[in-house]
Amino acid sequence: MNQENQILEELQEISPLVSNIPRTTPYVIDSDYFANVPATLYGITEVKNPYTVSADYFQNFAASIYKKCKEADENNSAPTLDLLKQNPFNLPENYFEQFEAQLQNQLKGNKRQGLLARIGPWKYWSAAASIIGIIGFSVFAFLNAGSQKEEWKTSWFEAKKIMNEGNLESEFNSINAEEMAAYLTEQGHDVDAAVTACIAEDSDLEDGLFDIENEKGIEAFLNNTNLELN
Amino acid sequence: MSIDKDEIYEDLDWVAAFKKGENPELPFTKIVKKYQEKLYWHIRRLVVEHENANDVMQNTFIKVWKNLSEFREDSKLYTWLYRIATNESLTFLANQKKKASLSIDHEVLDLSNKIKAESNFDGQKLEWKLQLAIQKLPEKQRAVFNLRYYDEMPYAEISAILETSEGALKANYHHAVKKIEQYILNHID
Repeated sequence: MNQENQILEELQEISPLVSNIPRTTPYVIDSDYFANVPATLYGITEVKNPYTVSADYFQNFAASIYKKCKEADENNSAPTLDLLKQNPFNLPENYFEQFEAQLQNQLKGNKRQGLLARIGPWKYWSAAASIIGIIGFSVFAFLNAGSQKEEWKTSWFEAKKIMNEGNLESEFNSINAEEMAAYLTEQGHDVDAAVTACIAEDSDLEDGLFDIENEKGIEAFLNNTNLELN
Repeated sequence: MSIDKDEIYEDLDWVAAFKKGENPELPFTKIVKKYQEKLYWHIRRLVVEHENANDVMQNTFIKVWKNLSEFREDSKLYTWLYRIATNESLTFLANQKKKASLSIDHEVLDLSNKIKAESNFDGQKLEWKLQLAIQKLPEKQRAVFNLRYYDEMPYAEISAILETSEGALKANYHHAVKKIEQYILNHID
């Protein structure tokens, strides 16, 4: 007795009703759908199955599975139900690799801008002090350092050129804030006090309490912060 | 379902070729083509919806790909494939149950509604009543009934797939048929 008959006989013994459920069925299954499957492998299931699938479902299945397996191997990741689900959104290439660097740059940029904004109010007096210092030092060097005359001369002409061309602000802007602070400190100015005063101006002092955009303002500011020019 | 010796040797040849590793996609593709439909319908009868059956079958074959090199030739390839497919289906249903228990929408779990949503469903037909009756069975009992009734498997093979004794399987199948009979009797118009 073959397996099919054995199962039917067993079923009849348990439940004649269930075993007599008609085998012919109106279920629609594309006749080409199972064309490649030997009928013997599927037996009576073909007529018993009420479910349907699309006609081309099995055609590319093997290739699709193989592709996913290779991807899973390459990613060394556990397979999931979502493996074939595609993300519809696009990202620029290497977005996440570059994101951190971009973020760092942005943070650095903001930091620099903040510093400049904070030192802005004292840039005029410090620029003036720098130029005066350069000029004074150049003159002093010119008069006292005979053996290094040529070098001091260059400094003098540079200072004079800046004064004549009236590009004080652009020259000043090209000077690094740290270098300027170091230079002023070297020349005996209390830079910390000046910066503190500027921060205080930003946050505490009323507008117009002192005007540092003119000569009197600079003098008043220097007097208030106990700064002296050489 | 019966597989003759030639087919078993063919399966073993493919497994050996896969293990050799020179061009594993060729024997793997042959295995997929040979068993995809049987496994698909086995899975589909358990999870009902095509989309879910498709997901489960993909996971099944991915597991086959990852573990075929470990396959021991002392068991038949197709019972091994059925075991993976059955376990994947039951795991899927268990996960659905967990999700449904957290969801307000308990309809998610009701496989009967999914059967009724099939495009060619006809509640007057006994074949559909049979499907509805099967979905009322506990999951493992459903697997036993499907493997015996649809896949025509000997108890020995079902035992290898479900890792349950033949005696327990026979009792399970008997109870399943009785429950189905009762359901159909209660739903005859």
